[in-house]
Amino acid sequence: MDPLRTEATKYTPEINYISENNTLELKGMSYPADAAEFYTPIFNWLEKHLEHMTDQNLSVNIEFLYLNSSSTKIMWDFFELLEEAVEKGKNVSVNWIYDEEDDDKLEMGEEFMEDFESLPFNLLMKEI
Amino acid sequence: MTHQKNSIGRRFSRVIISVVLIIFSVFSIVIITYNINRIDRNLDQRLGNILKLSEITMAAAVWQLHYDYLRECASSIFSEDIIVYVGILDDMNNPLVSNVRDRFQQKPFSFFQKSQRFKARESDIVYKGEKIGIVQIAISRESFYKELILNTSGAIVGIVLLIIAIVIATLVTTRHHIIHPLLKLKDSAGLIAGGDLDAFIDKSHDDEIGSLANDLDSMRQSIKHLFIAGTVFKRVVSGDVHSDPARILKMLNIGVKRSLYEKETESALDDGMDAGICFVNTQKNMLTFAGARIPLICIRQGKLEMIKGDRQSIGYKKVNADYEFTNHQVPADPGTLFYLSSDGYTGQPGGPKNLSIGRKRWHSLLQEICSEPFDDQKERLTEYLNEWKGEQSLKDDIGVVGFGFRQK
Repeated sequence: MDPLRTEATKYTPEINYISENNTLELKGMSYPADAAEFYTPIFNWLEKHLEHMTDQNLSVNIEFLYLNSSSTKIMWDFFELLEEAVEKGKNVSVNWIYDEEDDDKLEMGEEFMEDFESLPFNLLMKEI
Repeated sequence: MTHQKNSIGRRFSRVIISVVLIIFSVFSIVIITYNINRIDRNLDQRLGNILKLSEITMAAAVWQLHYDYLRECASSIFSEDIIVYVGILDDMNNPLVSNVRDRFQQKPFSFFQKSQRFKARESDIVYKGEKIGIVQIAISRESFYKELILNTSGAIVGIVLLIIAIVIATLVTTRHHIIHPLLKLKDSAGLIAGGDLDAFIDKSHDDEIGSLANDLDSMRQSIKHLFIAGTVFKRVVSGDVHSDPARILKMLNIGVKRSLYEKETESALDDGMDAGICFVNTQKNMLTFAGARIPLICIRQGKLEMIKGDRQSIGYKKVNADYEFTNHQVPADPGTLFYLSSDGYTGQPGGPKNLSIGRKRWHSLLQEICSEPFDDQKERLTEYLNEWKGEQSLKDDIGVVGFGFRQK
């Protein structure tokens, strides 16, 4: 699979695919000027990756500090894509990582978890 | 095209011209000074060589007072153009031979010594360890001045050509890449300011002006959507649903969706809002609340209660137009305080770990400040927000409404 690596900027998260354990990581701030433009390559990559994936398990670790509303909307599409893959029989799980003092991200994770019933969704408090 | 008193192009040219002028002038002065010194040194050296040669070749002739030979020597030295005076004196300073260029009409050696236009030097003629005469030579610095004029005029011509080139280049590029697109944007902004919320904005540039155009277009769209929401809201509440917040939200949802997506051809368009609506029956001290992703907070005797709104925004494409929002009945006794807030406050990142303010901190802040007058509360909220965000920018627009009821 093609590598995927995007360094964090002030406005965008670090995005990293680790092929050894088939893990996709999203980490940091997300308020790009054009969220759709920023996330399109990641969606394209993910679609291709899910297609090629056979029986291994894809872990998606998400640790956001801040998401603006357009990024939140895009995360919705992101989880929709993952849920569709799960419904097609792929092994995907999401780890939503939040700081113990960040109830905003916890609530956000809870809502996503509720909305995507068929998607294995774990809320993980960040270990210090 | 409107004419600006201070055009960017002109300012640009002025700055570049001054910088180039300074750099070029300093550079020219250095080069010219260097050249002049070099020429001066050359002249000195030549004069020195000629003197040296004369001393040696003339010594025996002066000793023997061999006038013919001395005259021949002097005229052979004189054959070089830059030499204007050759004189040979005996040890008592009596002239033996002297050659002066015609144009200086028999001027004495002292004349050449005093004038800046010449270089004049004399040297003793020594024979068998004894001074027997003096040789005096003056050379003209004309070539030196010619060189100076040539250098300076070259530099001036260079500067003038450079300035012309800079002015043309800056005027053409700023006009093409900055002024013209800016004026077009200005026209669009003027149309928007005048109320045309569908004004065309040229977003074809891929530079800073392009990103300004993009932002202007987003602004135009936001204003338009705000305007649509306001219009729909006014229409909805002017009917008989004004006492039913859940119904107002539903009508708002339908109305906004219709206004946004029915006419717009842009398929990428997807916008909406969160909303919270309260209707208060002051006779019965009863408040009806419905929220679209906005909760109502009420504080009674220091105790905070949150009434969650529906988890459904208004207006977005994915939102179901038939969605029924929920009304909540809340006692609104005098002394009870109510707060509505957009998610911009709780979502603002900052603090030591760069986390969002979040609901817990928001609630305890409200409990802490709720006994103060509303004006002070507003100040406290702003203070807290600014302190929390620190170096971070404000990430979202923030709207907070607080209200309560007095004893009748």
